[in-house]
Parts: sequence; C-alpha cells; structure tokens
Amino acid sequence: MRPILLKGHKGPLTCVKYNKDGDLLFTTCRRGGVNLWYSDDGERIGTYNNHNGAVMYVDVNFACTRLATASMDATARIWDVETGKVLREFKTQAGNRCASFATGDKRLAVLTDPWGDQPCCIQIFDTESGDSPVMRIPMDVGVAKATRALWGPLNKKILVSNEAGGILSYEAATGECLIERCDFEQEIPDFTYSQDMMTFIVASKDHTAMLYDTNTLEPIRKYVSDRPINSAAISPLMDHVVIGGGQDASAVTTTAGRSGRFQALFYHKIFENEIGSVQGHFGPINSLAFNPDGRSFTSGGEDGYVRVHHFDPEYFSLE
Amino acid sequence: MAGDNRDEYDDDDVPFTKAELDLSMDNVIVVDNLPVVPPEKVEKLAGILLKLYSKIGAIVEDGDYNGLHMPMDDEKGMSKGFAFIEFVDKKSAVMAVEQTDGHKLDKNHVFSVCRFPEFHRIVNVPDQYEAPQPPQYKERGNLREWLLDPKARDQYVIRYTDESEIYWNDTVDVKESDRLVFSRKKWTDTGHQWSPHGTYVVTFHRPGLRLWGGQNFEAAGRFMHNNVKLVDFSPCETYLVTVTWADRASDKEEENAIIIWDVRTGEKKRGFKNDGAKDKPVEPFKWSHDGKYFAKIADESIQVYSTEDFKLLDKKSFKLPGVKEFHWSPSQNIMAAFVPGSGDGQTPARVVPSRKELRQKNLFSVSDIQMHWHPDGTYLCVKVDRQKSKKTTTYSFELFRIKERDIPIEVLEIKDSVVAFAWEPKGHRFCLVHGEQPRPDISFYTMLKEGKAAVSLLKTLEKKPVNELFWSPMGHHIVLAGLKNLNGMLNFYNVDEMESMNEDEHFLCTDLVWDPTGRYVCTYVSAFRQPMENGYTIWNFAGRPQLRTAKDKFFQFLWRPRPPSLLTAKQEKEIRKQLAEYSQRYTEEDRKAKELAETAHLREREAKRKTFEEGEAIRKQLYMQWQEERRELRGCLTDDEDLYEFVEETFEEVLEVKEERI
Repeated sequence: MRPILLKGHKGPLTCVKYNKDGDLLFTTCRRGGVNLWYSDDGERIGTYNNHNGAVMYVDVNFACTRLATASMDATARIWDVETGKVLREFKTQAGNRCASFATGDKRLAVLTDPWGDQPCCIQIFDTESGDSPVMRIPMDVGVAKATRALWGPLNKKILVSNEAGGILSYEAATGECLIERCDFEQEIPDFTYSQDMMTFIVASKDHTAMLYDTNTLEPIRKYVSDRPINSAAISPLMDHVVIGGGQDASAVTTTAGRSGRFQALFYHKIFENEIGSVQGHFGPINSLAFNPDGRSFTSGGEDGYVRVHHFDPEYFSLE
Repeated sequence: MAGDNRDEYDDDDVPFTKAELDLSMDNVIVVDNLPVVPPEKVEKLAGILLKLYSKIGAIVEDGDYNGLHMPMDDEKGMSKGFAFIEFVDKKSAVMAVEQTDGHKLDKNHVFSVCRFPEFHRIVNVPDQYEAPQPPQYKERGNLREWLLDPKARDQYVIRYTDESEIYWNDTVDVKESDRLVFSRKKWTDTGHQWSPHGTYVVTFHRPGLRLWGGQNFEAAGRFMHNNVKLVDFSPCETYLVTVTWADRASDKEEENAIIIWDVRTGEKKRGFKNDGAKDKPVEPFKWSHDGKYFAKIADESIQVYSTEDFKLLDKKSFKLPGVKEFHWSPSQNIMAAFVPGSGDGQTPARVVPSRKELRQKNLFSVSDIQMHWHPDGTYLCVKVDRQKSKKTTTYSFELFRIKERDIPIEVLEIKDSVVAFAWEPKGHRFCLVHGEQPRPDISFYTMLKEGKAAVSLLKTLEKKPVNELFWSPMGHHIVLAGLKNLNGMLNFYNVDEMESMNEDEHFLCTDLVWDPTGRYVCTYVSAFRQPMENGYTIWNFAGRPQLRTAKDKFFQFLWRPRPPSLLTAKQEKEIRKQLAEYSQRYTEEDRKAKELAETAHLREREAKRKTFEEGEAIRKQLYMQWQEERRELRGCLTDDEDLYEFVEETFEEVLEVKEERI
C-alpha cells in the first residue's frame, strides 16, 4: 500500500472529510485554509480562502453542494462547493470548534468556545436566512470545554463530547440535556459516525477508543492502545475501525522518532484486537476518515501532511 | 493597605516554633565500679576521670558546674563508687562507652560504663527471670509448591506503576487472567527480589522488609531495619543480610548498618557498623558458595566471618596489605584476590580456612583488573588491562585451571579493547566482545582443545552490533545483545553449531534475563532507564517471540529462581539420552493445550460476534423504521439503504421500430 502524500497545508491538519460519494476530499488546517482534492489521485482541485484563523472542522452536505467550516476567527461559513464562494457567514462571539449540517441542510449547528464568563455554546443557525442563531444551547457553566457537537440521526439529538471525557446528548428541539455519561479518563478530541449514523466511535487521550450505539448511547466495544488517541473512524465495508494519535506534539522531540507512535492502528470492530498498523506520519495523527466505499482511508497529521491510502487487494481478504 | 500588608507579614513570615527542652539525657554516661574514696580523695579521682574522658569528647562546663558528678554517701562519709559524666553531645557519650567500658583503673576496679538512658533500663530489669512464652507454632505450608506445577512452568514477578503481579510463564496461548498467580497494589515501596532458591519474594518498605512465600504468597517473615537499601541472601537461603546507609551526610546514622538475620526464625544474628563514610553505600559481604562464610575487605585485609558463631574466623583476618578486590569461587571455599602494587599487581588465589596461598601470579604495569569465576568454579579468568603508553592499552586474559594440580595458568592476548566477557555455564567455552564500538567482533574460545587442556579460538563473528552477552544458564546458547544505545538488537546464537538461530529487535530494550531453565528469555524496557516503550517480551531460546506486553511505567521483571537440581549428573545424562522420547510427549501435550486454547478463543470470538450482531439487528431495524422520516427531511429519495446491497438492473425499452429494406 503506497500512500499518496498531499502537501497543501502550511500547518497541522485539523480535519479530513470525504463527501458522500467519496470522490472528493476536504482538509482543514490550523494555520487557516481549506483544501479540496480528488480523493482518488490526490490532485488538488481548489482552496476555500477567506478565514482569518485556524479552521477547526469541515462538514459537507449530503448532496455535496454546500460546505460548512468552523474557524477560530469567530465565524462559521457556508461555501458553495463548486465555486468556492462564501454563501453565508455567521459571526459568533468566540472561536468555533465544530460545524455540522442537519439532515436536510436546513440547520447548521456550530459549537462555540467559551468567551468571557459565557460557557461553551451550541448555536443553531438557519442555513437560508437570518444572521442570529435560531437557537442556543449553552453548556453548564464550569463543565469542561466541549470539543465536538454533531447532529444525531433525524435531527432529534445533538451529541457533544468534552475535554473531561464525557459524552452528552442534547434534545435538539428543547436544548435539554438528556443523557450524560463519562466513560473516559481524559479528553475526547474527536468522534465520528458510522455511515448509517447508528453507531459512532469516540477517540480519547486516555489511550482508548470506544464504539457506541447512537440511539441508546451505550458503549458497545472498547479498543485499547498504548498511545493518546486523537481520532477514529469506522470502516463502512469491513468490520474494522481505525484509530490514530500518538505522543503529544509538545513531547515529540524528547524521544526517538520511532517511539512516538504515530501509526494509524486497525482494530477488529467486533473482537477488539489490533489487526494491523499503517505508519508514515512523523507527528501525531489529528484526523482520520474512511472513504464511504471503504476502499481507502485518509489521515491528517500534526506534521502538516495528508496521507491518502488505497488498500491493497489483500486487505479485503482479511476477516 | 500598608497596614494590612504588615499584618500579613506578621502572620506568615515569622514561624511559630515552640522550643523544647531536651530531656533525653542521651549525652550522659554512668561510670560504675569506681573506687570508694573519702571526700579528700574525691578531687583526685575526679581529676583522673576528667583526664580520661576529656580526651574522648568535650565535657559540659558551665561556670561552677562541670559535667562530672560523683554522689557521696553522707552516712559513711565516702563516695558511692560511681559517677555521672555529661558530654556536650551524644556522639562523645557513645564513643566513651565504647572505649572505656571494661577499662582497668587498677586490679580491683574495672569500669562498667553505660549510657544514662540504658542505665534506667538495666535498673528496671526484674530480679526474677521469667521465661518468655514460646510463640505458637504456625504451619507454613509447602513453600516450594510452585515447583510441583504439572507443566513445569516458571514464574515471574513484574512491577509497573504501583502494581505487582506474579505470572506463570505459559507459551501456549493462555489468557492473562489464567496465568496470573498473585497481584497486589502497592506491595512494595521500591522493588522486588527473589531469594536465591526462589522460595521467597522480598518487598521493601520504609521500616524494613518482608518475605512472602507459599501458594498464595502469604507473609513469611518480617525484618525491621529502618530505611533498608539492600538485601542479600546467603546462597542457601539460611541467612539474610540487610544493608542501609544514610541518604545525606547530615542524617542520623543507623547503629547497625548491616544486619544478618536467620531467615526462618527471623532472629537477628549480628549487626555490623558502617566503617566507611556514613552516606556512602556500605560494602556488602560476599558469601562463600555454601553459605558457611562471609567476608569483606577492611583495613588492608579480608575479614572472613563464620556463620557458626558470627565472629571472625579464627579471630583474625587475612592480612593482605593493599587488597582491592576479591571473589569467592562459586563451588569451593577458595577466593581470588587482587592486590595492586606500586606499578605492578598480583593475583594470588587463597584458600579458606587453611589460609594457604594456592597460586599467585605477579602481573606488571597493570592499570585495571577484572576477575570472572566460571559458574562451576572450574576456571578463573582474570582480565588484565595494561597501560602501554598514554594512548595504547593492551588486554590479556590470565586463565587459571582451578581444579587441576598446581593450577596451571594460560595467557591469552587480545589486541583490541575488550567490551564484554562471559563464561559458558556448564561448559568449557567463553565468549568475548572485542574491537571498535559500535560494531565490535565476537569470538568464542574453548578451554579444551580436542579434550586436552589448551585454550583455542573456535570462531570469530565480525562487526556485530553487540555490547552485552547473555549465556543461557544451561550453556549451548547465547544471546548476543546490543542494548541501550544500540536500540535493542538481539542475536540468538547456537554455539554448538556456531550459527545464528534468529536475529530480531526489541526496540529500546534495556535489560535481558534468561529463565532459570534456559528455555525462555525475557527482554524488557524498564522505566528506570527509558520513559517510552515500556513493557516486556518473552522469547524462546531460539528467538521466537512468545508474548509481548506493553505496560506504562514498567519497572521490573524477575524470573523466580529454582533451587539446584536434585538429580545427579548421571541421572541428568540419562534424561538427556531419552530426550527424543520426552520431547515427543511434551510436544503432544503442547499441541493438545494449544488446541484447547484455540477452541476457547474461537468460542469467545463467537460469543462476541453474537452479542454484536444482536445489537446490530436492532440498529438496522431502527434505521429502516426511520427511513420514511429521513427521506422526508432530505427531500429526496436518494437514500442510502442500497449501500448494503448494490442491485444492478437493466431496463430495455423499445423506442422505435423501423423497417428498412436494403
């Protein structure tokens, strides 16, 4: 398996995401900038320039016409995928960590960092009109900072992960917190849905990742590794999950390069055992995504590289 | 605000301490058995005492009061025959007791001196002797239970974070929980140690150490020795030596730096003072192979003690002016000692207890010497470094054949610098690492050339990344290892066939230990030396990895030693002959066990899959239930149910039919 190295960012990657059809790949960078690539050969199609700060998250709608970005420049934007024009710009009071399209694209949920004495807040915007949010769901004061806020199936819930290792479920209609659970000892940097959104996988700095049932929010499986985990993804094709991370960026230079543990690790989704690893990054992996056809996956690292891996035929004969 | 600040200073900056009166009287001694003298002679006697004691330490003098007080019997008008002396510090008092207890003033007056706090204790001894109750006999169980394991497996102890765990070493895929023998959080403060026969495991604690043994590792002994640093067993596990020293020069010194205990009764046999600087490690004793003697170097001589009475053997030490190093033979009561001279050195071998010198060799222009006994005590190798000029050092080996008449010596010259040396246990070969780092050469030599006594070179492997040698305890196999700065390169080498069985790497590996039977090797990365990659790997002797475990903050891995085999050499030979038969039997057993483990493993996976699929069915059903609503939300029918099965349909429609005549 020979990866394709995408060198288009000047700084650490924050998010990589495929569109629904799996032919396009969006990547975001902490130094600002969003890139669009052909996922098959890694050719760059274009960039979405306008943000004045780190872009933390990117979401693409079902039809692949609209792109939502969350940025630390205190805005969230909706772009036209094809032309790269900014269609909407939502100004928020502080930096944004996450932006997520609701099913049907009518709503956009933006997760805003705490500012002043205001806590983290999920702001729900109308994608068509109005500059102020149609709804705000503030987190409780004093609760750890939220890291992701993603719509659940049928727009009924919004799932939130936080820096204390907690997963919370908010009712989207009322803004009420329905379920709160804390299965991790440390921060959850990222979680991603399976393709049908019926399960999701949570990555944690406490060296573990867990698979959850979206509906009941009960953990199903646990994957234990030997490194802090920054991101995880569920294969749509095989019974596999991929998790990645590595020694914290601030400690990387203190030890031998090989011991940083920057490989992407494959685990069997059901049996929880490690089945393989893919190395290449020389900094921690920040984001992972499977192509919706399950035949390739992409990792974005702190080292500024995006690596697109197309699996060898042998991979598909694995159990 | 300024006023507030001052208040704060008043509160915080002046520490409030309560002065305490020193009532311990540690610095006072009682001198008894003085002559009973009339008042006019008191002054003379006091003068004698002051003269004697002021030499030892400063006596308190405060105007009229001086530290000497001799009580008088007013009725008789005579002195009472004893005196109190108060020193400035406790140390002088201790020294005074040591030096003058038993001092002869004249024929009839032998001083009996003790420290004042002790005087109290002595006075309080009841006149009637009461025999202490003998302690209740406690069944100790079979302390060697682990040796009866039907699969003859070995045990090991590991320590990581504050957990201690003891496992069976089982190479057939057995789950960790099945192999676990014992585990306990915060079992020890600093580390573990096995007794030489593996009967006990030691845990260290601030006030002393404890031994644990038996099937469930029950407490098997407690040895109180404050701040104990080192522990050493006599080779037969009969005695235990605990050693301590002060952490800082200013710390209070322990009165007994070294204590020798009886392992089974817990009785303290003898304590020794620390001769050297009190904050330096104490030189521990070296035990003879049978545990009868123990010795150390002190005052230009080797002091040999006997365990019969824990006193100096024959009440005198072995005078060897300038002796620097000595080692006991591992099989006889012989020791080899090195006495550097001015510019030259000699290495005599001496015999205990007859004190006869067996063999001595003078070596000249020696800069350093290392002695290596063969584990069976048949050979002694002395590595001699000679400084030829400022830059060049030459190396040679003096090989002593101890078991032969007159102990012949052979000399082996090596041109390059020598990195490591190791004898083959139960064999006649040795291995050398020599040459330029980091890729030195490795040479194998034998002490027997075609059955005759002659040192000869067997083979040299050139330019290997090796810095340490680890022979199997059974001989025949050796691990040539490049540890630490060589990142953990391992070469499992068969010395009989002179071929490498496997080369592998345990990245950053810091330590390597063979199990006591020579079947398995463990390599581990200890958090003491390396913060990353902590964990251990167990290999078989041929270098096939059997088990890999990663543990954060992994400190220690120790195989449980086995007592020496009870089989005679003849019986062992017999077994060796029938090896094929045995190996067939064991292979069969292993195969069965493996099969069993595999089926268990499969069953477990099956169960996991089943539970997962149950959940998956519910989720799928829910997903289909939501289909309608989802489509409505999306406003289109392009749903993704077809993700699960691609159905390809071809529609054919006849648009137009034309007939043309050609």
